[in-house]
Amino acid sequence: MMMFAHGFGCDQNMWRSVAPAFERDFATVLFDYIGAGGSDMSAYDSEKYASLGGYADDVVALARAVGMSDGVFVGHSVSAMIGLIAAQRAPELFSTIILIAPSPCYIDDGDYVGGFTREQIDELLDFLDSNHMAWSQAMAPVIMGNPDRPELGEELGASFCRTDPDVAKQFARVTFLTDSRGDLGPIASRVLILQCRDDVIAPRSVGEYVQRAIPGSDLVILNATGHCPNLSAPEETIAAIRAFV
Amino acid sequence: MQHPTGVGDGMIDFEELFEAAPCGYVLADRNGFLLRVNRTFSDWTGHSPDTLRGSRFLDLLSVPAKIFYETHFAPTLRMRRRLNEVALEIVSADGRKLPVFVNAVESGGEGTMDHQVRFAIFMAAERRGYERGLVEARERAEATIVSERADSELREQFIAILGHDLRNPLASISSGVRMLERERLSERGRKVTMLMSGSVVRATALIDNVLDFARGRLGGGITLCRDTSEPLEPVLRQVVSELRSIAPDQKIIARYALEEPVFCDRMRIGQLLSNLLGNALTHGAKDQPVKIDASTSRDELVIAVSNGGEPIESAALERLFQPFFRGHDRVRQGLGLGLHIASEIARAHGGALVARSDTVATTFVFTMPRAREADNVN
Amino acid sequence: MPIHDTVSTVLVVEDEALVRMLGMDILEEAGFHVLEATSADEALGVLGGGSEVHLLFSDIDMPGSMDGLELAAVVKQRWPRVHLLVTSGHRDMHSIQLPEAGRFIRKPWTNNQLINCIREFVIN
Repeated sequence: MMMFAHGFGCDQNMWRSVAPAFERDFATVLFDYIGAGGSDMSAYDSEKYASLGGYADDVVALARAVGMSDGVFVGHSVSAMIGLIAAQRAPELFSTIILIAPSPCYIDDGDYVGGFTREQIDELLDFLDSNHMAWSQAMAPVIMGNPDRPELGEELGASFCRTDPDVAKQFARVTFLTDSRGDLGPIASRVLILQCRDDVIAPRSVGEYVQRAIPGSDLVILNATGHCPNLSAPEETIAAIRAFV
Repeated sequence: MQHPTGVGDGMIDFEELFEAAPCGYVLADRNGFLLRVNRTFSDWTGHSPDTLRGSRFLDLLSVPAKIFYETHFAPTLRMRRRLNEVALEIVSADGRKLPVFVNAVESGGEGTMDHQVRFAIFMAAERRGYERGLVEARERAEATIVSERADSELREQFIAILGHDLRNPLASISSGVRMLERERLSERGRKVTMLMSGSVVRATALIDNVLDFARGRLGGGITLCRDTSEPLEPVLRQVVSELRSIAPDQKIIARYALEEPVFCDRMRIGQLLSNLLGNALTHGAKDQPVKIDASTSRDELVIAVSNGGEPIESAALERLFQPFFRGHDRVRQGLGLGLHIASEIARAHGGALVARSDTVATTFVFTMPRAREADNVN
Repeated sequence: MPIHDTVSTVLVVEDEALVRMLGMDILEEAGFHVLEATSADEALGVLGGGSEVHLLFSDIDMPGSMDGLELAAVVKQRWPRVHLLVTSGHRDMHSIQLPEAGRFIRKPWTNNQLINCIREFVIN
């Protein structure tokens, strides 16, 4: 079984170019966190989701519900840390963990380069306030032509990257203000880190930090640029994952 | 370059159209590296095409906008191929942050020459300022609601405690008077205890009415606990017997014909009668009897209280049930809440309280549906 | 365990002196033997001191470590044979939790109402 977990700002649709490649060999599991995609907004609990642990508990519950054991977890961005926390709470779930563009802490701290200052993160949270429209606009369905995947034809686009604006703000707080470096450490599962060559959100140095902090983990630098190689360079991402599982 | 237009006769210079558009245009390749920007964009941001060589669209953005772009804008655009009205921040050549709205389209096929990202940039300072103002106003309103709710909870508690604290000493006095009444008393002593009882009754009714009013004003309204588990008549009889002590010399004629059960809050109906009767005893002519008539029919409960004396002017009749209405006669006691509370109790039971007055009598009539409505469960 | 089938001794628990005195007067006149307490703690002291009490008649709102309802619950547990009658002047009494077979009488009660209510404990 292979579980795909989306990161901040998106929903499970971000795996649309990657997950199908594994359907032949694995039972793939995709989901939306509460507040994203087609999830049940009424289940959002701001106290539970004030920490990554709340999200990790959902991952554990979901994995158990589908009967996962010794499976593969693929987590993008903040989901990388969520996956690691979930694996610590329930080691039997994932024998293999793939972290795509992970970062345990986005804020610089002494010698540690997270990439941003606290002020910049505060500006981000402020900025998200002004973008109410962008989140909810992504909830309008769209007829999508797909010239590069003509076999998909015209889809009534289930909207992509749907996120509830208020949940987005809180998820951003949790994602960008949490310092999860303490959750890095030895772990029984095999760990692969995929880092993009040029990612402003999770710079190279962070990928290297994570690799050092998890003994025995592998680090692969992708040619892809940006923060979402699963969308901008799906083939390369698929190949890297396949080589590891 | 000039081309013929689709509508009308003129020729269009498309190059100039692009450069001098009313919005900024930015073209980038599939990896975000800038291919071209128009003159409008350069004018607005201070970035000339030369300085942008080798930059990505990402590099034009402020830090927060960069994060938003990489985590949400870019992936969504990749999947939807089109994204409109997204707020971003562009950093101008002299370092200022420019709020903008952006429309973006991903065009062309994957891996083909024309796989580009096309951005239309609109200045948004005014609009964003306005939106920010709206958001702040909403947050202030929400904060006000929260604090008002807290205040009203405090007031609710205060009222409950006040009511309790006021009633306790009254209960004490009332008990004392009842015990004195069992002693051997002179006629004068008897009269004194009777009048003391009357005062206790009046004070209790006043407290009840004031607290109900205060609670009602806070949105609590008149709360009811309705059932048909016990008869109403004993409650009414007790009210009448208590209020006799207010005006011991006044004649009260009461008639009860309550054959069927009434789905009501007996305490509240008792309070309603108490207020009407108190009003009649206070304002009615002392030398004429006060009449009470309580009856049920198949559909209704009717309670009527009437007294003699000066008729109420029609102008006053209209305003009788308003809180604190005391008419022209300021000398009479009372806050002017009794009738208001009575009418609220009537309303809470789905009924009505009306008044009519002429030289013969002033009558208050309360009617309400007797039984519980099948589709209206309390 | 059967509750007392006669009621001859009543423990009146009420902090307001005049209200307590009136209650005691009415009960004594009706033939009951009456004990008194001004608070829940005092009441427990009376019961714990070995006096035989058939019925506890207590106000709900009293100062002290517990109110009348809590007192009733404790008495039910420790002296299960004692009948329980609580009283209060508050309006909203529909949601109070009485111990099983406990009763409530609303203030202000008349002499007859109180006596009849107590007599009902024996009849039932």
